[in-house]
Amino acid sequence: MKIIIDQHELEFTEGETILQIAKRNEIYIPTLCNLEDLTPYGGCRLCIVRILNDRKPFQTACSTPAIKDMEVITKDEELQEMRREVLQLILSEHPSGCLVCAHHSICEELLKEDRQKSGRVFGCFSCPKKDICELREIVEYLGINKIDYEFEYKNYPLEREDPFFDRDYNLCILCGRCIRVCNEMRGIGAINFMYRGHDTKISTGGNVLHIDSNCLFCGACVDTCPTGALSSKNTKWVKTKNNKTTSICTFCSVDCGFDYYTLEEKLMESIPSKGDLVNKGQACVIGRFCTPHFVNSKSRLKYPMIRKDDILIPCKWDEAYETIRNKLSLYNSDEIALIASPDLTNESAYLLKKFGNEVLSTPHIVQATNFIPFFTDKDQSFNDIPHTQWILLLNTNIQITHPILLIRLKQARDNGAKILSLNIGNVELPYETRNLFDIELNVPVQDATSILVAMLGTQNKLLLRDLGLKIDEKVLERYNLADFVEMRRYQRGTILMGNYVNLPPLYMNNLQKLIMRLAREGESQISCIGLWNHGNLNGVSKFIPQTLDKITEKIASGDIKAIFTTERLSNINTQKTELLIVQDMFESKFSKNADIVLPVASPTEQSGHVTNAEMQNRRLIEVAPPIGHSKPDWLVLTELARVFQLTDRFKYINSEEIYEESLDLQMESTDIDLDFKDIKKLTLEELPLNHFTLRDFTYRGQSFSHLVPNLQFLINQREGKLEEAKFNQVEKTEATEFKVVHIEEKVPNMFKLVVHAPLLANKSRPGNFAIIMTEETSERVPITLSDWDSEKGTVTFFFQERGFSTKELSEVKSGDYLHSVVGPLGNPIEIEKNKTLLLGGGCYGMGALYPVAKAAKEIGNKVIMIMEGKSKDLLYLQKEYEQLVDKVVYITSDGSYGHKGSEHGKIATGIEVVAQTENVDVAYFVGCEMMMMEASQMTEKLGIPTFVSLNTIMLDGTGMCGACRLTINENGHRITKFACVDGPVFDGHKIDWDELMKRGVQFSHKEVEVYRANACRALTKFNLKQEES
Amino acid sequence: MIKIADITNIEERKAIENIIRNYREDSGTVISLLQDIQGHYNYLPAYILQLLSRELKIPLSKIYSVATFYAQFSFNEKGKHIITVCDGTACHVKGGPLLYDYLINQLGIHGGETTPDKIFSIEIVRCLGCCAISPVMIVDDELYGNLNMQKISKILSKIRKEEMIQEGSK
Repeated sequence: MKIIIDQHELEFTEGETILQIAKRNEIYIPTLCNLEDLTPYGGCRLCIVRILNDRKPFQTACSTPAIKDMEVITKDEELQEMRREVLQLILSEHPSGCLVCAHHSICEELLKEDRQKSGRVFGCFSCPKKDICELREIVEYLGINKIDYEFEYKNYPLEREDPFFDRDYNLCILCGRCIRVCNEMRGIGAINFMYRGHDTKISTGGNVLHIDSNCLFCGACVDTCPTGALSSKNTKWVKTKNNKTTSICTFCSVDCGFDYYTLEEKLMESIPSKGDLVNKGQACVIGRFCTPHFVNSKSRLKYPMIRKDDILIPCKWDEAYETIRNKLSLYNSDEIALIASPDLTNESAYLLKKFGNEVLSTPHIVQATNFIPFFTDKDQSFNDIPHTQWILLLNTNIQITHPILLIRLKQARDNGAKILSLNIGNVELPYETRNLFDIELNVPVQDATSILVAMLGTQNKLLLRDLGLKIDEKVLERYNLADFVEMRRYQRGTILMGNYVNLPPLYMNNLQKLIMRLAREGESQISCIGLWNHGNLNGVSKFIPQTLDKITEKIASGDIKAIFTTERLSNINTQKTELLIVQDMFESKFSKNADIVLPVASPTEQSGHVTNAEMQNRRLIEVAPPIGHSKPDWLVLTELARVFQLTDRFKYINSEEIYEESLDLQMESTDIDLDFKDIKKLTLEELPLNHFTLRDFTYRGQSFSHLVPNLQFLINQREGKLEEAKFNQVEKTEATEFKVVHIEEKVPNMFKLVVHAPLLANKSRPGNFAIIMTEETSERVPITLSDWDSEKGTVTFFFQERGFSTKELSEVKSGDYLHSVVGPLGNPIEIEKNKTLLLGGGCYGMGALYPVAKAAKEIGNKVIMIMEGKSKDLLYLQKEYEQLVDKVVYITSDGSYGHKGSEHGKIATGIEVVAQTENVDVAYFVGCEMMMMEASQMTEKLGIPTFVSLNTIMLDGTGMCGACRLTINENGHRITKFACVDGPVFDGHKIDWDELMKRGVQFSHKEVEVYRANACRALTKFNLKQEES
Repeated sequence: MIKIADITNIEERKAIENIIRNYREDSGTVISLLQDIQGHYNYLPAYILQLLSRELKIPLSKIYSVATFYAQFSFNEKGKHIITVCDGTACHVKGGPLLYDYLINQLGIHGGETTPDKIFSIEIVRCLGCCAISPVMIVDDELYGNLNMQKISKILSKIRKEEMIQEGSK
């Protein structure tokens, strides 16, 4: 069938919408609410198109199915005008100063790498979606440069108490994407629209924190939000979009595709790849938010270490290799064991096997689990799950072990499949995902076997007789399963089996065998997929099928004297082991007891292959270089083999060579022998049932929750352990003299703080600043003094929330005590008499200039004030200035108040406006560096002497540390000055602005790490202590 | 989180079980579910919404989305007697606001609130459709027209007396 879009004749299949056809053929139709894979929504109305010869000529492209020979126009003046109107209405509730700002392109050029750290977002430079702003794209497409409707800031409080992501619903345009992805795609439904009309807001049920709702923190809403309303704490304040590597996440055996973003060779963010066939742009909390914390953890091992005089001492790799060779050669080959972690890559596992066979010739090469995974047949695919009619989840809790598969289950359910969850023992599944199951059973071990036999064995009575098993009809009755079994007999199904409850290895293996045998013999098609809790157990056990329980006793008895392990052995008694070589990523109790410790690269720091639960080999690509001196496992083994004089057999330069070689071996060992001899031992009475929780989610034995404070916060909250933690929080009782008299948020992000500080109030002069510490452990923050009252003994500050320390300061309440307020610091401004003064303030500068204006007026000067902001909602102290000074000029980016800023910048526009009528003698500017620089450049052209008050990074404020260093160009010389003691006021025409601006952002990345790591500091400290003890 | 078994009042538990059964049988809309709850409790208690979300497998956010959309649902506990005061055009002109002020002074609560003894709640509506006898209000499904302060005072004291008698007979 054909359709004509913009005179192009295009093919389509029935059911496709106009938007889908256009997208496929790269015809652009703007849209904000449309989401691929979800049902059309038609919410934003921007995709409106003209349909020729139709009764209703204007329809939304996203929700209109194409009809044969339909003629569609996507762009004409009338359509564009309609879209402009719609978008302006949307933008009247979204801070849009940045979208129509004339100065944008110059700004962009100058502040390329910088992103302002701020609480509320009020413009492009603090917006988390700055790099890919969908709104800007459409604004540019429609050519909007002014918004006719008055902008209304909703002033919702910021929602920052939850782990992993922040919410600022003042930016929300109510497109509903997050809601639809959460409800339709993920099937969780943690959020929805609340209230109606103008008050509509997105929230959880009962407006509780996400951590108290059924949210799983998968991040799907964050990744789909077209605005900066939802932002990941990982990269909210940092620009990372430049360095992207597409690789996979190997922490569970789904192996989702991820786009990893790095900054200065350090992993910053992981976002699921849209194009990946396994996860299709979706992720879970571990992959989406925890990976950067985990791989950049402080407890990573960075050097090889050798035990000397009972202490582990860092050494060079060569020394470590030599020591290993010398020590291993003291033992017979059957006294040495090699243990493979189920998280190794296939290459590393293959090499470990080869190393054991060819270098050490030891028979003891095992993988560090107790059972052999052979449940998954070849050619299984997760993509088939939605098309089966019934699904049996056996001993699994995929919400924790393989959360991404919940989406497939949801799809299957939507397609009408029945889902049975069968768990062994009395374990409760998390309630968030129970909505998916039609039947949920917790049964004792005997019943589980009987149910399985009854369900699968009805067609195979002969086989059952051979195996000595009987069908127990009553069991189905007892659990009300007759219907389910009747259905499964004729229809296609999937069995997903896991090791949620830690069953004995023998039982695990037998259960696998039984189901596989019964499933294969039946008439209906049954797919079996094993969902094990280990990242690459499928891959590792292809090379190393022997399990750890085979050698446990030998280790305990001391028959095996030397162990070379790539996994922590928590349940093994190694007291009699003489030589313990540990290859690990992190410091641990286990590695502290080792004789030699070798640091290895994280999965994001190496290339290779892993085999996922579908038995597909997925390719891992190095995202960032290994931290410190750590190396990938395969490289360690290769180099070690060379020390053993086996250079010929271990010639590898990269992992790709090993992979090709390993493929041959893999082919040989595909068929695992099915042995039914011990199947009778199925009925086990009592079992130690340890079930798997998110706390147990590990990589090479290292639990994520230990290293990721946000994850620990989540787990504790869900397990209701927070009460204990609160108990341990330190109450602030010690009062200093610095009582907070008053604090309020004057305009978004801009706080007015009045503090009781009588000494300071007596001595302050215009231009002085003070250094504030909120708590004893806080950073020292220099803030300009804005007002003081020596009678009341109070001082007033205006500060902007711009990072972690100012966030901390903004969270104090009236009546609290600050740890210290030190000042007055810096040199006061000397104002001459009988002059015309021009003052220009932006952001905190409007407050900071107030004492200057006051002092200037007191000695009888003429004062003109320029106040600038993105929008009228960001201006404050207007009344005070209007009463005080002779003239106030307002400049805004969006023209919502006073003059609209030109492409030279707001402040330059203001100076031009003033210079037309006034003869200015001297000018003072306070604001961000960018604004002060532009002001100085403008006044230099006009020949006005100019002074600016700098806000450099400062530590002590007394000229000792030199952090506030800047360069002044004076008479051809470059002179170094310190802002704290030589300033903070300098001649604006002499400053080296480039250097100043570079120095200003030098620690911004460090601060991002501080921010994301601090879910709650008291809690974090408490939890880490708990976990250690 | 509360389960049905945790509800100790037998009557209440029966009512909830009934609501759940009705919903399951008809798999009706959330609105009628909420109406049933409000019918029983006079408002929507948060713990019941959580319980129903779990039992009926409806996301809690969906329930709240519907409940916050319609003005008829209330999250605050309602009094035994609901006074609905009209502030439509006709009532407004004929002194409705003055009577409303009198009423809130008498009861010590504002519109949408409930007295601490849980006897009265006040609601304001735009028009009750009987402008001819304005100003009007409804108390317990009974309409009172041509109101003045004396009449309101009488109505209130009558209800209070009845309440006291009931209290005494217990």
